Amino acid sequence: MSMPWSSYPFTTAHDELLAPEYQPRVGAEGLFRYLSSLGLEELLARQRAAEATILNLGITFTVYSQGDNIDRAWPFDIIPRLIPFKEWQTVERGLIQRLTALNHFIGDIYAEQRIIREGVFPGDLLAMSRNFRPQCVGIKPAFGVWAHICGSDLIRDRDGRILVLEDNLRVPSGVSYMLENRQITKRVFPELFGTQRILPVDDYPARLYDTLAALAPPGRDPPRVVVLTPGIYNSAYFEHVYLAQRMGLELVEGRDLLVDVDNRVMMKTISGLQQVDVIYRRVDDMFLDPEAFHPDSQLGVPGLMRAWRAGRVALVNAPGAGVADDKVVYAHVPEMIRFYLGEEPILSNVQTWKCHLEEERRYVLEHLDELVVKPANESGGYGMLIGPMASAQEREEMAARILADPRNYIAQPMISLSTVPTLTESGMLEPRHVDLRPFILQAKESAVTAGGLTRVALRKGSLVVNSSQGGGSKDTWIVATEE
Amino acid sequence: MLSRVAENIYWMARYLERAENTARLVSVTGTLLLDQPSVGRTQGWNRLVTITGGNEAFAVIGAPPGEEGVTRFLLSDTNNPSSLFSSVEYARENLRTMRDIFPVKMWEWLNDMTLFLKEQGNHGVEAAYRHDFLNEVIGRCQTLVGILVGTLSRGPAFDFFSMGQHMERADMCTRILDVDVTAVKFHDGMDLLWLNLLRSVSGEAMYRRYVNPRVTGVDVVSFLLRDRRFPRAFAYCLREVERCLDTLDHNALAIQLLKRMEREVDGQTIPALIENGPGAFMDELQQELQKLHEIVDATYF
Repeated sequence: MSMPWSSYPFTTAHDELLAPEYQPRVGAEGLFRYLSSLGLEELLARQRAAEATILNLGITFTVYSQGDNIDRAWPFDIIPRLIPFKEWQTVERGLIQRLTALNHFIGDIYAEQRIIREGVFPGDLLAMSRNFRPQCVGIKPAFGVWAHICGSDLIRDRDGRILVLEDNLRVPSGVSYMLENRQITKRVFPELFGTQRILPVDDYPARLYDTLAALAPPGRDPPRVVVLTPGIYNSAYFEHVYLAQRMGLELVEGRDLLVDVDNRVMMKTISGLQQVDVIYRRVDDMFLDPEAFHPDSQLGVPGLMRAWRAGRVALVNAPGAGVADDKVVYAHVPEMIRFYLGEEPILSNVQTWKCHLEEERRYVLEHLDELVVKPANESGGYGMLIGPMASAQEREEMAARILADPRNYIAQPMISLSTVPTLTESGMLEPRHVDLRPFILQAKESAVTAGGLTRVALRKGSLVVNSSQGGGSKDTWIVATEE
Repeated sequence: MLSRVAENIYWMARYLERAENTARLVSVTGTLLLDQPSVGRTQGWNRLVTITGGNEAFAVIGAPPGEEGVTRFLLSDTNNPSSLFSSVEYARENLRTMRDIFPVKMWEWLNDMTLFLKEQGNHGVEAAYRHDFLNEVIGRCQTLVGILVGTLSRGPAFDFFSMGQHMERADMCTRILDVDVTAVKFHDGMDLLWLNLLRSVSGEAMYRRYVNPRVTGVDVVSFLLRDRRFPRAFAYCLREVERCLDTLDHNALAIQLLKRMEREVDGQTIPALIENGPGAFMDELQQELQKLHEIVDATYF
């Protein structure tokens, strides 16, 4: 059976592999030819082989409250998502520029707040931020970097432009799946790796280690670096284990650590207490230290903030970095880039209207039936209005809320995610929507993963790429093109 | 190595060893009791609850005495924290937090074993299926240990596993000797009971080859307590625990206690021990093992 490209049901979205005339896009010619030569039947056989590999390797993600069966196999689609190397180079520069500006912003917010005094960022927005940590004021982390590991979500719109949807600066996850996806694809399509120039991704653990080690307090050489996990019930536990193992570091829980009277962080081992210099923490700020934050947290280490403030240990990402992980801050990133770096943003945001500005508010109120309105300080879609799907009454209620508290709302157009051909459960090849989460590292130097984690909404028409809600993933290839 | 991880490994080993020992005990007892008049059988089954230290839990759960109640309690009862099922479940929960430390196959097999017990756990209660079921369990336990012996680097993980395994095994040895040797006095067919003792630690062939082709009480008790070549004998277990401790710092207190236990075992006159009933001495050894555990716990966990 040959490949049924001619019946591929295009949507109005941009397809990453196929141009509308059923021709491969630039850079995708090799993959297109290869898939065509395999045929649908063989492709399905390889999909099954990939699924068997995932089960055997025990690549799982964790779902809460499923009784004792808390590990689920990782849903994966074998058709890779491609981005030409040349385009990626621009994205890479854009991501580094963005994270650099964000780190300037975080440092500024916990110090002199120049950006507020000079009227570029409204100070009262900060006062409302849930992720502002007064405990962090006055701290100067190494290299001025607060967010050392950032996972930014990118989408490609109808016109094929890559836009930033959000920046995850707290404890972004997914990088282990990016690495595993590549391992699986190499097993499933070994022939392609011989003919295509696909950028490797496997150096991430080494680069992550270099980033972490660079942050150790002076004079601690070689530094002792550990990964701090909330434990096996955390949805990203697989990743915590995976990264610790790949870097050869201890995976610790809060109860394995203590802070002594000299503000040193010590790890309890079978040969006694050992000093820890850098903690790659995968625990949220509020649970890090019961002395400083939630007094009833069982996950944290009493005194950890003391040790960090005293400069005896590096915390990665730094506490308080989440202040920039917020929808209103997001809307200001382009201004931030201009303000701190004196540069024009390389990557654009999704168009965002800020309701605290009169003109933009008026536009939002007049176009509520087209827009998505989001409260600044909520996450997970809570309190959101999807204009085109809302009732007239819901829109009126939202208008009233915006007028009562304009600073707390932003609005965006209905976003369009690009598509990639994906094998469906019924064995067909159909477009499914994808996003992309690259990971950016920043300490003394900056680095971006070659590609990132492509998440795919496996349900037809769905824009929800989250793995707990029917999302899966694909391998992401940055391919060199012949010029 | 993290203290928490060392403790998890140690307990995982104890749970797995307990599971295997339980399977052996039930299997051997079931076969042996077929040779007994039926009046003695209920009593014979009930003794297993005592051996495994389960009297209190047995009473609390209110399980009925006799074959069905006892086998269910020992094998598949989720309310009995020492049952075969619970032990394997605990071992799996412990391993879950340490998958980065052990060979991948270990998790696959242990996972598969819990599924097997969920599906077929009741076969241990039914006499017709029991033998095959328990053989399968023992084989699976041995596979797990085999994976570690064959593919785990010698280091702290292996040593804490071996320590837990041999502490549990030593403890089980004293429990087997405690009850059965006392029981011998009330039965004819003494040889059969000595044989049962050997079989419950899979030691018959090794005993006949290395000790005495004939089964005698004195030789069997001596073999189980003092043999340094048979891996399920008490003295062998102490030596292995000592070997593990030798690789660690701050071991003086624990090794001192081990040496004392070894001297006590060697100092016993076996015929007198059998004559007077070994119960008191076995109690003493059990208390010393408990003390040893407390020292290890305080020093390393």
